Amino acid sequence: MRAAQPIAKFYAEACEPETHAFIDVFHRWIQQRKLDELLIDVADYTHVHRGPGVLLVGHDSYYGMDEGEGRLGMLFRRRRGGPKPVAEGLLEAVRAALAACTLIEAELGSKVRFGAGEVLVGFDDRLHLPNDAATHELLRPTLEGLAASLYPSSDVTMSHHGSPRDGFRARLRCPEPVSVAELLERLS
Amino acid sequence: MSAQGWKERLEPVMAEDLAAEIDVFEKQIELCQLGKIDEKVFAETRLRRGVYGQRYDNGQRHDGVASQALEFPCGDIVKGPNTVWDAPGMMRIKVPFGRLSPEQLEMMADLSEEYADGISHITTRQDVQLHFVHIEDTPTLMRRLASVGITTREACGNSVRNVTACQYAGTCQDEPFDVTPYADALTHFLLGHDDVQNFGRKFKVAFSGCADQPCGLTTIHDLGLIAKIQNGERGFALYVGGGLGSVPHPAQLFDDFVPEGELLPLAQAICRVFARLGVKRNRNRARMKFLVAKLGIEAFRAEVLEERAQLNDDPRWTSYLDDIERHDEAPLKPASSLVRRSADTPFDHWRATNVRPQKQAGYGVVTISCPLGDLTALQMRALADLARKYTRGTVRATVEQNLVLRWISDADLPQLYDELCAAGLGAAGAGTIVDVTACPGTDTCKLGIANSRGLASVLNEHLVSRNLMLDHAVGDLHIKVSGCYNSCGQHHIADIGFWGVSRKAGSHAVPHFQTVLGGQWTENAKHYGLAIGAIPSRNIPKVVDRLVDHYTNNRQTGESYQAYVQRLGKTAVRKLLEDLMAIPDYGEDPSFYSDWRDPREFTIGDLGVGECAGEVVSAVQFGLSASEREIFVAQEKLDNGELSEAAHRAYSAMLTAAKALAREIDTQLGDDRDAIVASFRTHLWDTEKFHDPYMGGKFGAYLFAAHESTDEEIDSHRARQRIEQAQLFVEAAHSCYSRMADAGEAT
Repeated sequence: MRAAQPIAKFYAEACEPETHAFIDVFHRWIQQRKLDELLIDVADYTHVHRGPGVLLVGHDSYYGMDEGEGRLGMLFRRRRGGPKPVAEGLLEAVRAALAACTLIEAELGSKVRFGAGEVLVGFDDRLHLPNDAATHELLRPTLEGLAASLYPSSDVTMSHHGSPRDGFRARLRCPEPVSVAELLERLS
Repeated sequence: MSAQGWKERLEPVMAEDLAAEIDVFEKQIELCQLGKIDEKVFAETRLRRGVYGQRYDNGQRHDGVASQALEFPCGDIVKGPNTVWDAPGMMRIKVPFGRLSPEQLEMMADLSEEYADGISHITTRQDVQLHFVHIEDTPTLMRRLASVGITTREACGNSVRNVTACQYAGTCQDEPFDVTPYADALTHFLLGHDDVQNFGRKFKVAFSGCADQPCGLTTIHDLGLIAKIQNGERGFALYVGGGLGSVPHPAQLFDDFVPEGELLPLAQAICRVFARLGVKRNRNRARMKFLVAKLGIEAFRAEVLEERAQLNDDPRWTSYLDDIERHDEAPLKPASSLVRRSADTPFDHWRATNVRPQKQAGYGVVTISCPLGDLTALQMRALADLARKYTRGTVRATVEQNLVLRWISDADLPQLYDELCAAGLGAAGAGTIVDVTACPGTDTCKLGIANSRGLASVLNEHLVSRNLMLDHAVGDLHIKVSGCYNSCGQHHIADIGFWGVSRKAGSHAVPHFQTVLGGQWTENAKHYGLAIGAIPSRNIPKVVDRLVDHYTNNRQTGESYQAYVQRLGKTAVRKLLEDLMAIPDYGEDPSFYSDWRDPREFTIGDLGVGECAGEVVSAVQFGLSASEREIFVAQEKLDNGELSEAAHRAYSAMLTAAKALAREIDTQLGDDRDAIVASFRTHLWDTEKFHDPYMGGKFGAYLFAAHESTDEEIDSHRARQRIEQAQLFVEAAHSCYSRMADAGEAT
């Protein structure tokens, strides 16, 4: 099964600076070529209620300090490359989001801390994966596989998220505390 | 895979003509990638499909230290002059008079998530724009729009842009009648019309229900129409030659009363005069305002009336009048009275600024404040839900970058307000001093000099914190910001307007805004403001404070802001702001050397060549390009063994080229095949204009032969031969066009 535009979001557990502060951070990332892909610009949507916040626009992906759901977090979205196997797409999105979280934590020190025990994943690909119960059932094995990779030997809860009009979304939650670095290590 | 999937899935719900147009555009994309379309022709082609360039699409970006190359993977492929193929761009979605259905809102929400950055942006001309869109995604995006009845055709480029109209049309207490059916009819009549394909620049049309209110902004349009009833007959006061840009011109009265039946033919005649006499080569003088100014309104009128007299009758001019009631809107809920809640101050504030009573008692139009015109996908869906819950889907966009819900029963206002608040859309202050309008500026526009959106956002926060929206003196003032002199933010018609400029301080560039005061928003934007001076961007909030406070303290009873500025005089106003024009040394305050919400040291090094003007591509060039595309398709059909279709396409390619050339002389020529061939014979073959210097009339004869033998049996040899003949015919057409252009006989 293949789909395009996988997403992954890890939430900030603590964030001292206002979301505006990430405008400077992302401009620095472009200047210092912090990511291994072509980065184009920074878009400021902090004026929008529960919107994309501050968005780093790359040729292949978006990295956003996203304010959706009223919860600040690092949202990664692959925007190019067409449909690929869903498990591969999700893993890639989770890795990229975690890598961005790591960079932010390294750059802002203790001012920002991401929680790695909860992740929102999905696809903005209504053609292949509408956000309905059938898709959720179809993707259950993939999501369970992802949960096993991220949170082995944990009692992970998995829930289908959003309305049928949204892109497909599922949420994975692990009861034990886990850091971004640990999670990245598990995926390496 | 995805594009094919959507195409197949949506085929049953797309209008056939829209589907065919998008197929053609998809083919043009393919041909451009193969280097088979001239880059200028493709640029104008995509612009006329709403596919616009965006900042940094020349592959360069200043990162605050130095200009860096953006190494897009496509290499040298371009989608227009100096426009890299892979660079993301903007998609402008034309929304005639801003009317949107819930299904259309939902579709745009989906598209913003799947192909853009999650935001739908409402423009100052009632369009919706998506940013960071890749060109390969545009055919699919267009198909999905077509599935809900939207075309992006002629949203950009040198064409008739979105026809705008007052968002209150049909509900307004001041209008003599609803302009909606007329705006709709003119939209469809001019869309893709042969007479609007040969402009030197864009052409903008606006309708207003009345002369007093600003909603239609007819004064700033190429063609402005204000509803009027004379002797019991419906019609319009018709204005021409308005426009902002760097050299603003107020529109001039063409006719005090044009009866409704004359609206479409007169508009057609105006377009024909603009296409015939308007400047083509110098884009800075190519808008119709320059033509009207050059000829004078009397001579322009005479040209138009002469053109009108020569037009062949078209049943579409009046056929829509028989069915005008179909645009009438009906409420979902019965009319009611508002039952006031106890001391609900936020609701009262919101109601005071965001709700306007309709002429139909018991109903109101609710304006939804959209900060900087931006909405998330979730907000778009929430609005779609509210439009269904409270109305029969009656939503419109406004020229102040907001949306309105019409036909809200008064008793529903409190609950609607609560639901808007839940969606983050309950902000008060629509149309007041806090509702700052801004063009995209340096955020995404290639021409942006300063960050208009950053400034607008800061001003909004600042003015809301001062709680000025309900202030009786200044609450109704309008602030508008443009990123450059081109006026997309409409700064000329604001009480307080700004447009971005750059100034040098030592070795550094400093973002500034030129301050324009005393523009008139009311009476359809009757007067343009005066430039007072350039002020560093960082000082603009202080400028606004000082202007607002001075007006509050010094205005005379009932004195408007325009009258106050005029009374005070430019010198005095400048003196009031003079100290704010100073730039501190870099070492003293480096913040002055970067723009709002952008930490990079300011530079104008990212300025590109704008696409607002489009490429100057004549109608003949378009026609010849279309004929080449048809030959390409004919070859594909031949390869697939579809022999009859291949031969037919080849014949069709010749017809297309013949029509493009013949229309330069026979300007009334339509799509009838016999007429095209006859016209070609009379004007180009008999006169030997088409003849090749060596081969004589041979290539022209291919068209006659194909035209006369359309019923013949086609085998592979015949099909191939027809394609080869078509190729030669189109080459000869190119040569003929060059000769005609050199002789001044073609545009």
